[in-house]
Amino acid sequence: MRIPYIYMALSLLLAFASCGNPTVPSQSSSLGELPSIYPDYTNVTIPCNIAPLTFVVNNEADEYVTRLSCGDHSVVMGGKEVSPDIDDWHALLATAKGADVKVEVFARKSDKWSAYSPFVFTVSPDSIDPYISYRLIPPSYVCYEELTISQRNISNYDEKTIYNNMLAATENKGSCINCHAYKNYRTDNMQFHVRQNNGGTVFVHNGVPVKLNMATDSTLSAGVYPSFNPVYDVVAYSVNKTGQIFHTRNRNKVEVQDEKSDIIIYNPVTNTVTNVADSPDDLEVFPWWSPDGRTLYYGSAHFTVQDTANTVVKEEIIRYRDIKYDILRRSWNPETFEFGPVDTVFAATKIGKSATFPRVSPDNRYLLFALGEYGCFHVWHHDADLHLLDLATGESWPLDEANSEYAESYHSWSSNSRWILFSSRRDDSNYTRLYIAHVDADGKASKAFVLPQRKADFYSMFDRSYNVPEFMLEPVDLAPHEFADIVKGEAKKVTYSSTGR
Amino acid sequence: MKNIGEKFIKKYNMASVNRGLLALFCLVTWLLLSFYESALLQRVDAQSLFLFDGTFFERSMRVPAGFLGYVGSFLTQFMYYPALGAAVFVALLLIVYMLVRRVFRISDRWAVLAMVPMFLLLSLNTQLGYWIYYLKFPGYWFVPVIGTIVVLLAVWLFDRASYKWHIPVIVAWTILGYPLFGFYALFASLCMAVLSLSLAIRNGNRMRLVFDGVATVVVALALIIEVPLVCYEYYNSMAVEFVHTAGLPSYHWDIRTDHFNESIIPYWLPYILLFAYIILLSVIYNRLSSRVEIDKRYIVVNSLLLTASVLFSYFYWYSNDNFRIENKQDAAMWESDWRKVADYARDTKEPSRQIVMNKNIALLNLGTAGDEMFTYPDGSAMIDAPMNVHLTHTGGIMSYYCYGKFNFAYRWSVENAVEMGWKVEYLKHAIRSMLLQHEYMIARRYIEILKKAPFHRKWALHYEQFLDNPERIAKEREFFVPLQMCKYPDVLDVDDSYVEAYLIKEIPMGYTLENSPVYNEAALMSSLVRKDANMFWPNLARYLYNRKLKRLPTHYQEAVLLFSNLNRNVDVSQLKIDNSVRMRFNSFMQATKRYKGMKEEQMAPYMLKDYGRTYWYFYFFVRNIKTN
Repeated sequence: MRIPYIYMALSLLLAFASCGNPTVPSQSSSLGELPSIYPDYTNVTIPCNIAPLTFVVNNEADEYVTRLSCGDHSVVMGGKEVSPDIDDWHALLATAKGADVKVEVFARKSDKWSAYSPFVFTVSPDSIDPYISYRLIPPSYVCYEELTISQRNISNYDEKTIYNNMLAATENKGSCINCHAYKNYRTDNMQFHVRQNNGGTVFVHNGVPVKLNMATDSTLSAGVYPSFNPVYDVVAYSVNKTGQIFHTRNRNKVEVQDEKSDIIIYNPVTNTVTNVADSPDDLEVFPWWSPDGRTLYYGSAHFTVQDTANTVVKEEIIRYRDIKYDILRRSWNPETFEFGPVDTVFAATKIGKSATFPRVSPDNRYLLFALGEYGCFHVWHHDADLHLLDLATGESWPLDEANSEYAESYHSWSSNSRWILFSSRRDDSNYTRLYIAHVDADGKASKAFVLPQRKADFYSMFDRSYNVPEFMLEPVDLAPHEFADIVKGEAKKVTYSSTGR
Repeated sequence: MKNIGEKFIKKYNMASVNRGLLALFCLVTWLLLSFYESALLQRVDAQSLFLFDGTFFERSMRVPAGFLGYVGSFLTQFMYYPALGAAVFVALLLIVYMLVRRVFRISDRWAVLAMVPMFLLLSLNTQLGYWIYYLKFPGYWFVPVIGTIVVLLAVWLFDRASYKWHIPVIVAWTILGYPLFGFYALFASLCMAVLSLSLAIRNGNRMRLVFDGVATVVVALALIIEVPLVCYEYYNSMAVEFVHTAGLPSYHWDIRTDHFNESIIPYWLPYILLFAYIILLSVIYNRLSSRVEIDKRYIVVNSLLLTASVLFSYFYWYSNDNFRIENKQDAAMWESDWRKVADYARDTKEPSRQIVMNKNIALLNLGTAGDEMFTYPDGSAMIDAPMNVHLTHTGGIMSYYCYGKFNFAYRWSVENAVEMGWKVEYLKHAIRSMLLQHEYMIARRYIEILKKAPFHRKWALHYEQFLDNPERIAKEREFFVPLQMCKYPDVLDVDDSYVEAYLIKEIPMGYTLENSPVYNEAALMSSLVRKDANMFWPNLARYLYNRKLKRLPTHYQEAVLLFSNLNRNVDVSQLKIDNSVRMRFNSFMQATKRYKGMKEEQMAPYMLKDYGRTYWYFYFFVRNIKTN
């Protein structure tokens, strides 16, 4: 057995011994190749206000020096882990706004210094929203224990818990929390769901939190996937009867299927819900409002039972590859609360694919969605990729620069429509990590980079997946224990209204 | 008797007698844990995880008492070598003994009193049984003993301070100690307050009684109540109902009903006695320090106390044979020592389903199932535990792996990790199943994590070689049967947490042209366990086609005779049945006629002697099998 403690002591001694100011070697030979770094931040486009991109140099050497520079401004660091000081970093980015930060890595083996080919961080003048929120969840299937909805200041590394489900859990009465959402990137109108124990929807309306029971006799279920109307005081939800079933061999592992699903809207002023789309043979899901609040986008699959001896569930299990979603939209009149006819925005079924999770950019130019072979829960589908559709021309294309051969899904736009934040399983095929990519005015994405962390190897040990990433312009101010008090309280019953008003 | 005791003690003096008793306790405890419970200790290590890593430490510290859990996890890893883990545990018990004597100033005359916490701390762990799969707080085996040491050290520190410093010490201790030690820090504060009050009462000075004794109690109680509540708002990771008991085990409720159940009370009793005992020692502090002559009173009290402690530990030792066999089988399965796995299954009168499944897996690996599988004790002994024990939490993941259901093995590794936290066992299952599923990225992730577990690094390095050379996977003897079993088409399916029921249903139905001879045999075995003739015949046909055997194994011959006798439409004339098997079958049928009129359960004991090792006995007399 190895005794790592000795190594740790030696490492500490070495660390102390090498604490002098690092200097770039005066002479070095060129290696003619990029260094192997983790995370892969080579030649990425970054926002001018992002936290320092820390990384580890994986190439073996006795000593390392890394220089980040832009013009005369440079930051030099020693060590295998490159972790720029946050003030130095932001000063450098301010200098490099609209230009490149050149990254040079030097490595010494014995007494010989070598230089890897430099790479760049292209610093976009487009800033990114300062906060994001996400749910941290183990990549499990049915079981759950501790889940948190957390918020992160992405100009630095500060992460805070918005709500932790253990705050209202007993040993055997846990609750799942999911689907946090905000109105217009602000947090005075927001929501998340609590399932099972203390179940309900924690809904903050104009800064006042309340717990809602959104289940009614006239709707399929309580609200599930939400979308706040950015202009008007309504929230669209899908309502779903969802099940999970497991692959015995396929690497996708699990299918999350809706036996039934519809769309409803919730009016927080009248505390009523009403059905929008509830066709029995159509599975409607993932609603999303256009920036003007007058169009509702959603995914929809037409699925009918072919063998009458089967139930829908049984047939969905057998024919799971036949469940394919198109992206539809309907206009909405905020005065009458009436919806217009269905318009197909992206007919994925015509190309034998399935498109879900439509997200319209705040400038109303592009529709971002996830495209896979089948189904709606693409986070479990390795083939799922992000696609962009130009709402002006109807043309669509895959975001190849941002995609990988693993699942990409659960994406959101920054408030200035220049950055997308999405979850991807490219790191290890199971744990979703958050990636950021720049999308220019022509809809061209840059190479995506993983959300930077204080410790470069953070993700290798972090045993939670990130999901439902959302941008925010401000943090959630309510404390977790204040939310816990709401969660433990009685839920206010929502009623059904046929008009929605 | 009295004279003998007094003479003995006078002759050898008290200190020697105490040392002798202590040495005896330590030796017996160490021997029992190291050898009798070696498989348990190894399983406790497998059901724990310590990583030499900063992120692991940070995550440990995110709950009150996190430091206690961290240290507990660190010490648990020594159980990888049971003798070493047992030695560490015994050494900590010795420290408790010494501290109890020193802190509460117990003389040689009453030294047996200091042994009582050792017995209680031992019983806290030996009572666990199946709880080892369900306790969520990390390092639970060592947490009570470390927590007790912390309490004793804190009280000792308090005792050293002048009474004017009592309140500042208690304030500082509670505020600083709670995040690190949780409940144990609060309990130490309570002991300090009791000690302070006791000393103040004895002092007789009314001012001291008010400003030291009573004031300390009031401050301590206020801190004990308030500090966890303040921390609750800081940690955001625990319900307010549990902040005061952070660091204690989580058997608050009956998992089946989620209501407080009296069956849980015994599990708390050693804790209650331990804490009450320490409070009592705080009350009688320094009153047991006199060095007077030994008398009858001493001998009676100490003997009774010692006897009671020994009896308590004896009755609190969870000694369920099936639990022990399951753990032994599990250790042998990791070593691929299939003969041992099968042999252990003979050491019980009525096995649990886990034992039966492990035995069948072993026989499948040994290739002797057809001749052996019904020669072992069979049945479905109830699990002796107050909660519903599912195979998915115990040995089911291993079963899935061995039967080539890698996705399901991985799924339950992750599901369990989500509920209980990652353990060595779950990581190893996740690594092996994903390695054989050819999902190398995720296997590498878990290998990198396990490499940071000092005692399991070697294991991780062994499996890392397959990541770098995947072509070696197919050639590795260890992987042969799981890979042969993994020849079935992908379907969407669900096991509802019932591993055995799922496997014996699915394996015989998973027929494809891809099926291997090993798969065919497993299908045949499953159809026999299911007592399903309709599944038996097609699987037998495939088995015969694939194997080209000169002789059909005995149990399959027995099944052929039985099923063809029950359904005479099946033509078995082409199958060669041994004369001995045919004669025994005839005799079996005649015996059943002899006992005609009896119920099956009445007939079973008579049939057991002559036919207990046949499929016929299993078919007719092993009934009402309840799998978990």
